[in-house]
Amino acid sequence: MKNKTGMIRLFKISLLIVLIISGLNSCEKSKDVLEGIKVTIDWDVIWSKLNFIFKDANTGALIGGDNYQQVTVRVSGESKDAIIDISGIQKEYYQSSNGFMTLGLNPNVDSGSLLSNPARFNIIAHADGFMPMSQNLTISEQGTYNITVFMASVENPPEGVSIKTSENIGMVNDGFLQEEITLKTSGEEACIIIPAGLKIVDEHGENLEGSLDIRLAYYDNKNDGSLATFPGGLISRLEKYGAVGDGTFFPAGLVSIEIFDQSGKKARYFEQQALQLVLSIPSGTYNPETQSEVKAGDEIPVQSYDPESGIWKYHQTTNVSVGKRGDLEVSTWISHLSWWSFDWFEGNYCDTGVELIFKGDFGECNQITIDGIIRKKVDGTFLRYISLNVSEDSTIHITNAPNGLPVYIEWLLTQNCSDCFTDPAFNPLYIDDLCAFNTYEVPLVCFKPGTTSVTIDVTGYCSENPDLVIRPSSGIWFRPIDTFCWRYSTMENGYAAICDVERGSTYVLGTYFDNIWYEWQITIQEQEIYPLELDFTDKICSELF
Amino acid sequence: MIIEIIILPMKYRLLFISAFLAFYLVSSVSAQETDQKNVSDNAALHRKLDSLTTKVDSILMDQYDIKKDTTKDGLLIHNAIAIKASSLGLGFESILSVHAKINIRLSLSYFKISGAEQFYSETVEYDLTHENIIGGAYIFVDYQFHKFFHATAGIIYRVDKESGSAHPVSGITIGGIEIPAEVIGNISYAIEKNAFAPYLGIGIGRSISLKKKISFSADFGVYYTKALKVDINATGMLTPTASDLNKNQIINNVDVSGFWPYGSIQLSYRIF
Repeated sequence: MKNKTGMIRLFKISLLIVLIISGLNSCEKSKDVLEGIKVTIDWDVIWSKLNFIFKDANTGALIGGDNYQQVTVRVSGESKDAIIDISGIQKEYYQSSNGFMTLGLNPNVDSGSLLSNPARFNIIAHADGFMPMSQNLTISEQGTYNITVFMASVENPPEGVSIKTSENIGMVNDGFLQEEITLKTSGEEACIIIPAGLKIVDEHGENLEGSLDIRLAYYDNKNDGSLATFPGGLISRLEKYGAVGDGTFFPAGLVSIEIFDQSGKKARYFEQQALQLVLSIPSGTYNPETQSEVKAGDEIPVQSYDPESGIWKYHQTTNVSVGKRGDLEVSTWISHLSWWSFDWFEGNYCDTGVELIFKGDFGECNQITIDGIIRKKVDGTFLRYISLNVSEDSTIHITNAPNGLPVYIEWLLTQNCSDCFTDPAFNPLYIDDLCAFNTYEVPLVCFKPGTTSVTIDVTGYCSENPDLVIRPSSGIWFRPIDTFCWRYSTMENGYAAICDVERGSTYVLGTYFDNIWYEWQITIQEQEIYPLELDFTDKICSELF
Repeated sequence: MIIEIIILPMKYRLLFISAFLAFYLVSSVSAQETDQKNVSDNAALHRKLDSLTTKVDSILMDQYDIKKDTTKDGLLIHNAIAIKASSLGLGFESILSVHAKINIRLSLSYFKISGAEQFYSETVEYDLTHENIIGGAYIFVDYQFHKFFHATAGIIYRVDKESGSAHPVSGITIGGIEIPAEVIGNISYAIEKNAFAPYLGIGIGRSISLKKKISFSADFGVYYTKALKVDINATGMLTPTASDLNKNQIINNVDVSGFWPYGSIQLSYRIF
């Protein structure tokens, strides 16, 4: 009995010890196995990226490239809800930084149906000291699009743009203008006559009061600088008699009229009477309807631009007459303020046009950016700026192309930025119809004076969440530290190839997320991979991660 | 060496001391046996030893009423089976007594804990599953140096596996983007600490009773292990989480290298 009791006690003690030991062993497991683990995510959910570069149409410099000026952008149009910041945040207003802005097409919209149902939208850009600018865009296939937006500086406009600003003129009481105001641009290319008794209201129907600030801008139809700032682009959409059609403008002239009262209220509509607009037409202007130079008696349609829809609206047709100075001019009466143009609208356009295949040398990374200007063959005037990311075996389609219009592409030699450019024998490249099912091969040549390529490895962090690592995807731009010649590269899940760079040289690199420009400097050494850190803003971190 | 022991945490110090004691006991027995072996060349002494062994066996058999199943080499052959609960799980054991004081034991043990739960982060709801498996295969040799105590040495093949996985229950909306669950991706990890580990310990009781059918015994000791294998698999947006950096972090977190305590209790049934 005594032995039995002793055995039971021994069993209990042993069991206790085994349990203690098991507990000690479980101490190993009770440590947080996953402590310190970095949850790392590939932030590559946007498949169609829109890289905007905002440039001064006169100097070609980035707007905000050497200061902190930002371009404020609003998106409008039928697909505006599909446009988001490259970070994934959707906003009412987007802002450029350092002259760059990257938006994207919401992947929930960006499906395989783009070809049959393209995303159509407009961006309306505003920047202090610059005329507003609008750009119509159509995305019909997934990809990365480089879009250069040229804006006309008020103080230093591009050739062909004449801007007249008058402040504290006239007097408005209860919305009614008390005296007639006449305003002309410096070269008398455009003239507005605002009759006394005209009632001026803003877009909400509220009266303007007090003295007025008026800005009248004239854009000619000859110079690249003025045509590049044509609202919505020359390849655009026109509503006529309730039907919307696609086509190409042959402009005779364009004006922008902005009127503000003392309180900053912006005029939108005129009541009781109308404002008279007189525009001179440059000699040599091509009339596609007569297929000859414009002359007195020719008819010119008059259109106004609706930046909300990105669609021009036909109002009336006016006749060309001989002005007091002996030049040709047109005149019309307008009942609201916007951009007004006198131009012919021809043909259709196609969302996806001819195919370009680039052959030859693509540099160290087998990818370069080629810039060019599409010009009308008939008069050599500017039609559109293009910027193409090309690589070997890739096929590029010209998008938003005018139908049936003979053009040529003038390739811009960018050897200051890149060592690769198009073969001079193919510059310009003549194309009879940008919408034809044709393929054009464009040879490329490169000079490689001892360049190399490296990889950058960008890791994104949120300061509030140190256990989260983000591998971002966006565009990366880089330039030598001593020039402002930016080149483009694609960053996917944190990795980007920086190509055709010189060892020992220092480069500035930057990328854009949600209004912020993130910039680094690296000096190219022997190493192949350069780790970079990106501290996302609290706003991005709180809204996304 | 002493300094190293002193700076060890209390847990390790106790384990080390107990292991040392066990090792000392086994070494003492081995030393005695070695001495006997050295003199075995001497035929006379060898005969005396045989005689002594026979006498010891005879005394033991008389004392414990053991049947005379001595082999022609003078060894006692018993066999028993046991069920056991140990710090490496539940299992069973086969015990072979090759001498009145020496038992050889073969054991298998296994224990599994699994579970599933849901985890809510700020944006994603995850289904989490996890599983812990511990167990092992052992070869132990006992030396019954006292009526109630034995020293044990052996090899454990330790099986210790922990795994877990998480997958989002549904898609999420981040910013203006709806991201489906399959795009977010799944993540799973597995930690395997399987390894051969040397074992030393002391025991209470007998794994084979010499006079009864049922016996109770307990073992306490330490084993040494160091191997660790970590796998992380991730898909979708979470793919880069399966990085070497994170694997190394888990290895640092777990850090199984070193001496680990072992304990077991068992009930044995002597078959013959």
